[in-house]
Amino acid sequence: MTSRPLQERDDRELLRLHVEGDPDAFGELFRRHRDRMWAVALRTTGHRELAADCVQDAFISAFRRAGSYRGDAAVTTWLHRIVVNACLDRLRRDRPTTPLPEREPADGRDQHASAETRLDVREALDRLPEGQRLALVLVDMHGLSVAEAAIVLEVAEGTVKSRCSRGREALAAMLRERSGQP
Amino acid sequence: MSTPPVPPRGPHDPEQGDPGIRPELDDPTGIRALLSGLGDPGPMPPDLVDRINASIAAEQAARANHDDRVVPLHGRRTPGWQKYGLVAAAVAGLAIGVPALLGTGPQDVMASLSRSSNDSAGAASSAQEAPLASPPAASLTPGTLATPSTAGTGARATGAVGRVTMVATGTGYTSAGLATQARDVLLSGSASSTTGAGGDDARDADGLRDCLTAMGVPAWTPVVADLATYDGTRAVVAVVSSDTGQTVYAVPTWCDATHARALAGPLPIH
Repeated sequence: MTSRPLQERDDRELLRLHVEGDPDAFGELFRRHRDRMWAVALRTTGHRELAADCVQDAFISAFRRAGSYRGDAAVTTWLHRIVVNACLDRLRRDRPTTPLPEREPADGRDQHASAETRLDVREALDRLPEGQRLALVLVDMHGLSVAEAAIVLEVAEGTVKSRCSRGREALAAMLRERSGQP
Repeated sequence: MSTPPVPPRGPHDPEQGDPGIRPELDDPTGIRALLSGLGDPGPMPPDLVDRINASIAAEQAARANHDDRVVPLHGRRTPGWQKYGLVAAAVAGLAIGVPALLGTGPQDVMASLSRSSNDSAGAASSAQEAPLASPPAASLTPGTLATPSTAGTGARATGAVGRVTMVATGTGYTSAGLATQARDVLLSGSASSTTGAGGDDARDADGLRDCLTAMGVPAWTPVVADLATYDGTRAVVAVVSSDTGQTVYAVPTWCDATHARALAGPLPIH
């Protein structure tokens, strides 16, 4: 029986192969999900260097702890959780002593006036409580379902919904205030 | 400064069943659409890709070189086998009324040792340890561990080595009274053990062991831990028994090998 190439294996198979000792399976998982996890880290931390450290920590942690993956959530959800926890740990432990540089633009390739808009939104996002900000990053920016976000954040689905709702209201209020709108 | 107008509803019609949109996420503020329209940060930078690939390769090389015949024991940074007698004596004090610490056999000891030693997530702490020598094979066979010599209760402690016992008392621990509360709640014998939350962090016995090991707690030390709150925040309060006595830690529930952090402790329990 010929063995299928790693690229054709689903995430759970790759993780299982990795746990069983396949030397290349985890590399394929990394290749497959690295951009998304980079985006999560960047949007969670807002700091490029911090995000790089966090996402590296996260993938090494995932490599080592693959045996603890129980399969009750998607592998991507599991990875999201590891990345978010790595970011939170760094943010809480290593609060930068120097001011953070200007926030990373959400899309560095778009150089038009909407960059200012993105900056407003990101600054407002930064001012939200951590729980609300993370809920919006995961649900609104990364498209996770409420159920997936609840697993990542280790809270109830209702909590995710209320954090999203309150976070959006707070953001809208901040943006209205900036624009002088009533 | 321009401020984006409140955008119209999201671009996707919920009736079309787009998996990214949920009816329950109906958003009158329009913020969801605004956030989702901010754009992609782009791919992971190539230098970071290379850096992580190199780290993965290093991890893979370390894994490939691991001698499966050797059971690396974190506790062997000290000549540890003879310490089991002292550990047993310390554990005897914990064993009063804590059912989970009683009635265990050598197989549980082996399982505990194997679990704590083979968990590669603990490698972060073991990376700084001196190279571990493999013990004589005979010392890994059941029945060779020290039995309590000074225990006053007669409790068998062989099964308690390295064991993590989880309870869920719902106690609200405070920074002002942590050590006293831990003594009264966890060492009184009144708490019943639980199976833990089943996660891979401090809410689970294995995850808590990883967390504590990453903070330098030897893997052979028995632990009794409470899923509770600390100063109003969900936390795990853990009493660690060693040959020098008992100490208490409060750790966040998300604490694990890579994100090891103490909210409080180690504090001695008197």
